[in-house]
Amino acid sequence: MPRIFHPLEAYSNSAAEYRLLPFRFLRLDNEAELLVNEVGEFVVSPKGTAQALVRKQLIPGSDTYLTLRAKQFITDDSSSPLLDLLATKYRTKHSFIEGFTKLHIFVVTLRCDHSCHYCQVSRQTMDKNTYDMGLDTAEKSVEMMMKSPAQHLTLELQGGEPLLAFDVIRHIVPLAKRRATGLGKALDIVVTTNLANATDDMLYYLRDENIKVSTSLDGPAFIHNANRPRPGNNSYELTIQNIERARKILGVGKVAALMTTTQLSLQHPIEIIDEYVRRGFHSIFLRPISPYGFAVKTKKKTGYQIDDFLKFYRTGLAHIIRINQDGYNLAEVYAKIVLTKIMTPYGTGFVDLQSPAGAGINVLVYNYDGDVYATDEARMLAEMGDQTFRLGNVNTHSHKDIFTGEPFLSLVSASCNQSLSGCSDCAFQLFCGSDPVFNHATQGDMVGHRPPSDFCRRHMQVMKHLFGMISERDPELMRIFFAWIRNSSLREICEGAPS
Amino acid sequence: MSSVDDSFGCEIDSEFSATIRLDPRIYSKEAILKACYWSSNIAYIHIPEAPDERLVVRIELKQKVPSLENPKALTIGEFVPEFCNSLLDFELRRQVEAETASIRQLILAKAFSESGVLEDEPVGTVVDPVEEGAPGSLVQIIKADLNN
Repeated sequence: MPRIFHPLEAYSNSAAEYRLLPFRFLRLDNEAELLVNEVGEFVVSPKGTAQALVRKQLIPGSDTYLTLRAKQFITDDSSSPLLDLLATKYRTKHSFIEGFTKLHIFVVTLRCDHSCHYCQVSRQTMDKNTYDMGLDTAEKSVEMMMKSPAQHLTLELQGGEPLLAFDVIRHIVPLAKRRATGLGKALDIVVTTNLANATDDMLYYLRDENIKVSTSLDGPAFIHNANRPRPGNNSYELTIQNIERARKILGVGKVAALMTTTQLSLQHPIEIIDEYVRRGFHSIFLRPISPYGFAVKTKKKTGYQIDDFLKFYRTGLAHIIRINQDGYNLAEVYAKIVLTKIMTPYGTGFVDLQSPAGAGINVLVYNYDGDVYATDEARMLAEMGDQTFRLGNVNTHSHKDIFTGEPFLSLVSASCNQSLSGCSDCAFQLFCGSDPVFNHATQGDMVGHRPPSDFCRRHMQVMKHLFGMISERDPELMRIFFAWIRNSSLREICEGAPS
Repeated sequence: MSSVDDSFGCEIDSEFSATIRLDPRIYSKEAILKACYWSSNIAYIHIPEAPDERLVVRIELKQKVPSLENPKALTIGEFVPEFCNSLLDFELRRQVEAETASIRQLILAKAFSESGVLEDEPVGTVVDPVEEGAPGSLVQIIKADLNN
C-alpha cells in the first residue's frame, strides 16, 4: 500500500508561539485598526487584528504575522527582540531632548500699532515706552540663553511689534552672536513682525545680520483687514507691499508668513490657501487660535468649536494636496510635523507637540521686564494675571534657579504623556505631546482631563485623518508627503524615485 | 422604562441611563475604570458596591436635550455598545501591558543608559592608592603639572 504524505500544514506549528513586544492600538473606524509599537513602527490592519495578536491567534507565516514580526510587534524563536535596536530607535525619536533649551524668545517690547482682536500678546499702545526691554535686561537675557547646553540656538525676537524697539534689537544681535561664537554655538535669529514699521535701513540690517523674518498673513484682504485692524484699515495692503520689499532685500527664502484662524477664517479655507499661493509662499500653517491673551476677552469673534476647526482643516488640507498635484509645491506645516514623526525615525523640534513638553525644556521666553516664562503662552497667561508659569527673572535668578525652582519642577511633572491619564494608552502617544500650560489655561489643572480636552481632540482627529490618508497607499500622495518632510519639491522626489 | 439587553448584559433604565453588570473574571477593574474615564465627558458614571461578584457600572448621559453645540444627542442605545467596545479594548491593552511591561522598561533603560543619563560617575578614583601615595610616582608628577 503506497504511503500517503500528510499535507504541508500538518508539519507547521499548530498554535502561534510568539511573544508580544510593547505596542498600543486604537480603532480608526468600523473597519480598521491602527497598531503602533513603542518606537513608532505602525500597521493599519483590519478590525480584530489587535485582539487576534494578543490572543496568540495569528497564523504563523501569514502576511499579517510576517509584517508584525518584521516591524517588531512580536518576536518568536526565529527572531530576536533586538532590544538594542529598539532602544536606539526610541532614543532617536526623543533626540529633541538632547541639548535642552534651543529656542529662546525675546519679547523686546509690548508696543504695537495693530489692534488684532485675537492678539495673544496683550499688546500695549504706542506711547507706553515703559514696555520696552531695557538694555541691561537684554544683556542678562543673552547670558541666560548662553547657559543652555544646546550647541545650536535659535533666538526669536518678538513683541508687540519688535521693530518698534529696533534699538534693543541692534543691541541684542551683535552681543548674542559674539557670545555664541565664543562658546562654539551656532545661532539662528528670526524676527516676528507685521513689517508695518519696517524701513529699508531696518531690512538691510536684517539682511546683513542674516536674520529671517516671520510675518503675518491671515488671507485675502477682506479676512486680513477684518482680523487685524489698524488706523487706515490697510493692514493687508501694507503687509503685501512690505513682504515684497523684504523679499527684494533679504531674499525670498528669508521671509515666511503665518496665519491665524478666526471665525471668519473658518468659512474661507480655500481663499486663504489661494492667497498664500498667489503671494508665492510654499508653506502654510493651518493652526487654531490659542486660548490666551486678548483672544480670551474677544472670544465671541475668535472662539469656535474645535469641530469647526477640524472641518476647516480637512477642507484646507484637501485643497493643498490638489495644489501640489497641479504642480505647485505647498506644504501644510502641521501635517508636515506629524508626518515627520510618523514616517521617519525622528522626532521634531516643534515645541508645541512634544513629550516631555517643550515648555522650558526646549523653549524659554524672556519678557521685556526680565521675567522668564516656560512658553510664549505662559507669558500670555501672565499678562492676564496668572503667574503660574513664571519661572523667575533674569535680574534676580540664575539659570540653575530657573530650572530647579518649584514652577519648573511642577510643570515637568505633568510634561510626559507617557504617564498622563488617557495618553498612556493612546496609540498616537509617540507622535503627540503634552501641554501643561494649555491644560492649566483651559481646565485649571496642569495634568488635564483628556476627554474634553481641545488639545487632545484636535491632535487625535488630525492624526486619524492623516493615518487614513496614509493607509490609502496612494503613491502620488505619499510622494507629496515625502516632499513636505524632506523640504523638497515633488519633482525632486519623483526624479529620485526608483523606476 | 426598563428593559434588559442580554447581548450586552445591561439593563436600560431610562432614555438616558443604563446599568451594566460585568464579570470580573473577564473585565479587570483597571479596564473598567479606564473605559469610564474616557466616557466621563459625555456621561456620569457611578460604580456602586454590588452584593454579588459582578461589577456594576451605572451610566447616565449628561446631554438630554439637543443643543447648538451638539444638535444630535447620543442615545443610551448608541452609547452602551460603544462603551462595551471600549471595555474590550482596555482589557486587551491591560493584557499587552502586563505581558510587555518588563521588556518596555528594558528598552527605555537601554535607550537612555548609553547616553550616560542614568549612569552616575563612580565614586572616588580608579588610581592605585599605593602608586598615588608614592613620592615621585607618575600620578604625583601629573598632579603637580595640573596644579601649575
